[in-house]
Amino acid sequence: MIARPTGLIRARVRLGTVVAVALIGTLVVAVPADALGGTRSDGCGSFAVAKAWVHTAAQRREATLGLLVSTLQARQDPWSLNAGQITALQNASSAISALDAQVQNTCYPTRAALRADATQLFTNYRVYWLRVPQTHAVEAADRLAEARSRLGTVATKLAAHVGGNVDAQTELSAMNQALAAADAELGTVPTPADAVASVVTLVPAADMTADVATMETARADLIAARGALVQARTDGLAVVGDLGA
Amino acid sequence: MGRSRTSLVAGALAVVTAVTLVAGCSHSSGHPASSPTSHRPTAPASVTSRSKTAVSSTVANPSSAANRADLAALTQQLDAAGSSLGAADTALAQTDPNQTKNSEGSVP
Repeated sequence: MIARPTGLIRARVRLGTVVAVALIGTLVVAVPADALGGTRSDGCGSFAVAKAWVHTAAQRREATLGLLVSTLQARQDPWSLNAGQITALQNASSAISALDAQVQNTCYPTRAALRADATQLFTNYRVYWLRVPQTHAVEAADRLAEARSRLGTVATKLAAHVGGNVDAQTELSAMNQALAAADAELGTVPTPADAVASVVTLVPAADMTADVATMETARADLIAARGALVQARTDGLAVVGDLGA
Repeated sequence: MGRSRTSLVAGALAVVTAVTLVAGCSHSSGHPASSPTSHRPTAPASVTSRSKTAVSSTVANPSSAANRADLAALTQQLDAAGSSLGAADTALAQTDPNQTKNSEGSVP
């Protein structure tokens, strides 16, 4: 049996401990605090990844809102609904931009604090849950009014052509009935039907149940109006065919 | 005298012409010459009601070039209305909040 010198063993253990501590210390210093979301010397959590994510989400919303604005700006606004909606969209975009800047520049001591601000991006603006369908409903009403106007003009002019042609008279009567059905759902320019008008009054809500119900009602009316106008156009083509064009 | 003979000859020619026209009409249509509709074409029983209407309306309201131009313009207006309806369809496809909300996402 060989006795090992205990002094040598102790020395090796000490050396190992020192090396291990040195390695861990090197790693901690080498990894950026941003990636870890840790706390900097000034007490702020950097949260670079989370902040970048918020920035991307904000920019995406601003781009969507910009497209919605340009869509309505290109329209004729027969119901006088577009201007108010455009203002609401622009205000939302400005507020989102400000929130993004706030998130990027704020010293958040904890992830929870950052999360509280970032959540506003989703709950305060409802860009996709409210603004997108709401704006497209306004656009659809605008487009349908345009179709209604054209079909009404055609119906009026066809009345001067049908003469004693019984079939053409019947088709024209059906066309006018379809136009009246469309008016009942859509309204008569410049006064939109209640359901259509109520869409633009909607604002983002924590509980979106009522907003969704209003949008669904308006959507159903717009789809019905669209169906009636398609029928009116079909009847109008039949009248033209009856007259031998 | 010469004038009387000329008048008689002209009168006789007019009578002969009228008789010839009436006789020709009766032969071609088989209707009595006195019928006001004797020269209206009758659509074959096999054609659709729309075709019948088109034929009869053409006769009832003879299509002038102006009428045809009007109807062509109205057809263009109907086409334009169709374009508006197509654009409305595209907009309507994005009005379902239950679908669009999926793009909202949430805080991770």
